Amino acid sequence: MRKILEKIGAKTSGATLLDIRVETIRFRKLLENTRAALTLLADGREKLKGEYIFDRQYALSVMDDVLERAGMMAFDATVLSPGEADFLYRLLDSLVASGRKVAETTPGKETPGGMEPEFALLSHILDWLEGGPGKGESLFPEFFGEVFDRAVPGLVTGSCLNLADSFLEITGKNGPAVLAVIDLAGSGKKAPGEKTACPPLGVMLLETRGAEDLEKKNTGARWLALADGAHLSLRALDPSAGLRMEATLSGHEDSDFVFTYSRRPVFPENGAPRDLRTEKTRLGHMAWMYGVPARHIEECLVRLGAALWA
Amino acid sequence: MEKKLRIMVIDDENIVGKRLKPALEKDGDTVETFEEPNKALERFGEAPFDIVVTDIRMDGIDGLEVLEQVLARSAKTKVIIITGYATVEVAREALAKGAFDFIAKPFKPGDLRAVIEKAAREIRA
Amino acid sequence: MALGILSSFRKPETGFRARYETLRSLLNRNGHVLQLLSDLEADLNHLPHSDQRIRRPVERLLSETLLMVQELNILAEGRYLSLYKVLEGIRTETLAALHQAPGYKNQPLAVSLDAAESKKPGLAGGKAAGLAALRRVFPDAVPPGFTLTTAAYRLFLDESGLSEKLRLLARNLDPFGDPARFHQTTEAIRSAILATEVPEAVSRAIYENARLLGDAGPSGWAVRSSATSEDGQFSFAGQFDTELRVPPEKLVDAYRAVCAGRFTDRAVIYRAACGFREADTPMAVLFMPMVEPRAAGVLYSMDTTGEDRGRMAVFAAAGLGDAVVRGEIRPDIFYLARGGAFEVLEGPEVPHVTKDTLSELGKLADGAARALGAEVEMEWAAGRDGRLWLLQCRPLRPGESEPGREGRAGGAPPLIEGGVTIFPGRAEGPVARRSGPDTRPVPKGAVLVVDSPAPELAAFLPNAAALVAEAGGLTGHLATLAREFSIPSVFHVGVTARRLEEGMLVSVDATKRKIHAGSRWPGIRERVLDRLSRPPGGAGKNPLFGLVLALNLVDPFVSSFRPKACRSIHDIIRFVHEMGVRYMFRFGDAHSRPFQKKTRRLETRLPMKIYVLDIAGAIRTDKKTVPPETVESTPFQALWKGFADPALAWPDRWNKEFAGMPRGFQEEVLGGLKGPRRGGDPNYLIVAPEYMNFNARFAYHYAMVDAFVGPGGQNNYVHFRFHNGGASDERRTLRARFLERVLRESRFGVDRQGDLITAWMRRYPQNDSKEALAVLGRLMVCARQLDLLMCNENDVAGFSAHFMSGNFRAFA
Repeated sequence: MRKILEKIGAKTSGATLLDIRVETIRFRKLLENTRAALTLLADGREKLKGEYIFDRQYALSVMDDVLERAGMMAFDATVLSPGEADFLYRLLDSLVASGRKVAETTPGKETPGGMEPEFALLSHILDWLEGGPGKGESLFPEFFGEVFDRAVPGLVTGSCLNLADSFLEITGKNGPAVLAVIDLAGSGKKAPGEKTACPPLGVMLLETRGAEDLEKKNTGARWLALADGAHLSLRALDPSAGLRMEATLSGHEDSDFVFTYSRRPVFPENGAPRDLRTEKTRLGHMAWMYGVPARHIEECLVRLGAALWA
Repeated sequence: MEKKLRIMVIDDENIVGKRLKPALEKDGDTVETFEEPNKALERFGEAPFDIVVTDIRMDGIDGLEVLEQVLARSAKTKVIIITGYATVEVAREALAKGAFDFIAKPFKPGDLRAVIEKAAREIRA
Repeated sequence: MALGILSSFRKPETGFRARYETLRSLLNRNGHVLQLLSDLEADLNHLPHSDQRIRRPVERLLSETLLMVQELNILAEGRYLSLYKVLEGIRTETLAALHQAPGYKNQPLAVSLDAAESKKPGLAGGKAAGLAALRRVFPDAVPPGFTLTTAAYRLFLDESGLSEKLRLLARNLDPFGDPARFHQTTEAIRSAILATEVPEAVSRAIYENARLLGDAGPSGWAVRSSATSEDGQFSFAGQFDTELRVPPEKLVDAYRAVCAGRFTDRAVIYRAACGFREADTPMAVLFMPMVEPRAAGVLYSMDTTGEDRGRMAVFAAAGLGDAVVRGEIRPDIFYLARGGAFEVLEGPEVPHVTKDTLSELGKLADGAARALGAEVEMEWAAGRDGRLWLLQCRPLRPGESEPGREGRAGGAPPLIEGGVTIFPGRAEGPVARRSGPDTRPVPKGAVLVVDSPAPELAAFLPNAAALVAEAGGLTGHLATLAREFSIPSVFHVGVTARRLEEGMLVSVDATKRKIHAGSRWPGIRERVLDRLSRPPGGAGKNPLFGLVLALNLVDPFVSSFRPKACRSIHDIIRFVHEMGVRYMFRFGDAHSRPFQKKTRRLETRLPMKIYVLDIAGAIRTDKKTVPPETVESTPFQALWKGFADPALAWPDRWNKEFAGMPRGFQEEVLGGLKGPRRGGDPNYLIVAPEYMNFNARFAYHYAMVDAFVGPGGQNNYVHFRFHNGGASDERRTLRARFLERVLRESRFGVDRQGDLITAWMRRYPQNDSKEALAVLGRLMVCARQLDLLMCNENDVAGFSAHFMSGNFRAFA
């Protein structure tokens, strides 16, 4: 094994820039698949409002497509945390089996309130997928949470501090926080003084009391920021915080988003930015925002920065 | 006063026909709906329509065939295709064969009406 | 802690399931990226790569490919880590290429000929740029005017939603394979453009600029195309429409009409023939007040007919110059001195041009040639008031003057002698006779013989070794194009040209205007073919084609099928897919065969060895051999239905072909150990209830079917790839064209590069997808050795008809 690594000139200790890029893209893939599944549900709800024309085929395709995405989510999670594969696939299999059964038990001609049959079918499918009280036993919310509870701990953390392009000391009320920044967009080597351009990171620093470049001196970094142009990946190095954040701020509404996963909620109850959806999982808390204008994403990032560092 | 248009809707689940007919007839246009493409074509043979809205996937005859037969009988007729699967391949095929436009399911009746109005404008121009 | 790459080294403790999911993800991604690639290829035809619709899919391709590389390394336990580096190199170059491209949004919609921006051919088009330069030298001889820029054209396409429609219609156009469909499609494109409203900003730009120039006069306006490559290396001469005598209130209609003229059959064929993509030649449209001339024509600052280069040649006819330019009428010819008073040396007396006018014209041409630093060809017009106008001016490409060596001394007298040299040089090849509407392709290296030099024939030029026309003269678009392509050409040879019969081998000496029967200059044919095989002007220009779309790794069974040989994203995808499938079967690796027990043999009487791997419960027996009908896979059953269709009866054929042949000969025919897979070699089939992947090698060609078919339509896809054969190049291409045609008629999207066919059908309902697979099954069997049966162009249509009507005996 070492031979192969040496042959291609890879380091055998610690993570390489490539490791980090591959892992970050894989995690973003997991988020993309998650978002696609949630979007399918939201689209389905939209279609149920009565303004749309659709057929049975569409209703069935919502179930198919959500299950397909669930499969992709499970796969991404097992690539990030291979040890969780057995558990996640078992969960996936039962999800798929019960989902298929639900789609087959089509509401008959007798539909509640004289609803058109294709509407009744879609409503039946969405209720099951979304779960919740009175909506039938669903494995989907549980699956959803488990995927993140199990994928997040697999991510690279401290082993790549030697790759940092710069260290930022952020001044806040509770003392300074040091952020190790790795630039994933560039070739890795930066001219002295050259700043990493990463809009989401810049926005997060707005309400702090300023950040100072420590000129490559690592004085107890507690955060790792992977900057990749419009994308930012942020991780707390302290495992007990268990915080991961991903964000894109590019000005394109269909790709911009914020996602956080943490052991404790980042924002106090009733204090979260508007449009931020939250979900409690078995082990942690998730929050995400997408499909909203860029200024809402920006505002959310400012608030996040303030909550973490100000 | 604008000339009233004759509109034919072909859809084997008749979801489109049911939901769209009242809205279109409010404008004074005549709308006939068909669940069987064969019957629709028969009817078209008796009296041509200005606009034909047809689903692409139906039992028996598919929408592309309807398109060809309609245009063969009345080249001025604007044919609008409803695709259930939003495939570019089918859409291209339809456009190349002379379809006026296509719309992918699911859609809002208003979206289809906009396309029908565009076709109507061209007929009247 | 698990690292991205290091995790690839973990022993697959979760066993078969994890492997299966990895392969499934890889195959799924493969389908997705192939779709991205084909969409991107279509979009690159229409959009500059600064466009978000190019950038975002390219960025997406880069990350999807990275994930595929990771998945392959999980399957192959880290054997292809070097792919990461290869991909990283391609990524760096691709991002650099993407970031070089400027956007169009900040560019002006219209520019005056006198504005500095008119000098930019990319914005104002080649014709306008040429005229702007000319007008700076001769402000009085070039009419004023303005150009609606390429930015206006893009805005027109984008704002109206035309882009989408064009993108759908213009991809996959095949002028030669299916002329009727081609014509129908270009017509649909033109009517879509004509039916679309021009954005308000664009029509405002037209009216405002027209008003700035004041009244155009009673004759109205001339509106013509100024494509970006026009008057450059490729002139597009005569390929786009011109609208004349346009009244001011019809200017917007004329604009639209000229834009639609970009999609006439001949313009599209011309671009395809020259290797231009739509995006390389965005449209600019030139507006000028109409000049109503007494006479008009063309002037060459140096006479290139080969007789006397020390003089100028002027062609003139009464009225508008159109007919002269189109090569339709025979103009009067005058020769002028190339200096001094530019006096007329030779020429008839005619009422519409005086000797003084001609001399003045000579002076202008001399000035233009000095200003451009090259001999020029210019279109001119003389107004009723005697005023001279220059309407177009481009550098002339005089032919290289080959010494007039005689080939074999003596020999038979030439078959034909005389005519006018359009471009000098010698060539030989078989005769191909064509006339305007005849769109049969011309074989590479043919001597093209035509009645009259119509611009429609331009499409054939890229393949022609020489060009001979019965009629026509020095002027005309086809003449200009022949010079552009540097094709030895003789025009106006008269009815003797009819002695040249289809297929006859002739030698053309365009310098001396002699055509001989047979071959006279050994070696010249090879040189000509070598010239023709070089890629044409446009295709190589966009680096994204090479970095992203090009497929260089075609044959997975050659030693160069390695990570290091990957030069494009497409190559990496191809490599990852092939190796991913191989690793699932573990062939070639004797040390670990964890899934060997899962590999079964398909029980069939067909003369093929097929190994089958069930990845998700499609096979419910533990036996080592499995009858096909017990494989519970929807797509496989559909394919097999076609494959084993009794109407095909191919086992008999197979036996017949090999009956009585000595073993060694069979071996030789099939390529031996180093050659392609032999008849007895295994073929690989992966199945799941809704999925199948089949890699097959028949004799010399390679076929791959990859399909997902479930009850819903959204996720269904059928992919097919077919490559290579044992017969000559031309026949392989014929077979590929047969496949292309049948697949198109069966509703597949098709891409053909030489004899590599890629076809896809996506998101069709279950029954359509199943039918498509059955077609593929039958097609794979029928096409097996079709290359040996096909001889000429007519066979493409013939065999397609046989196949589509179910007449499979024709393939026996």
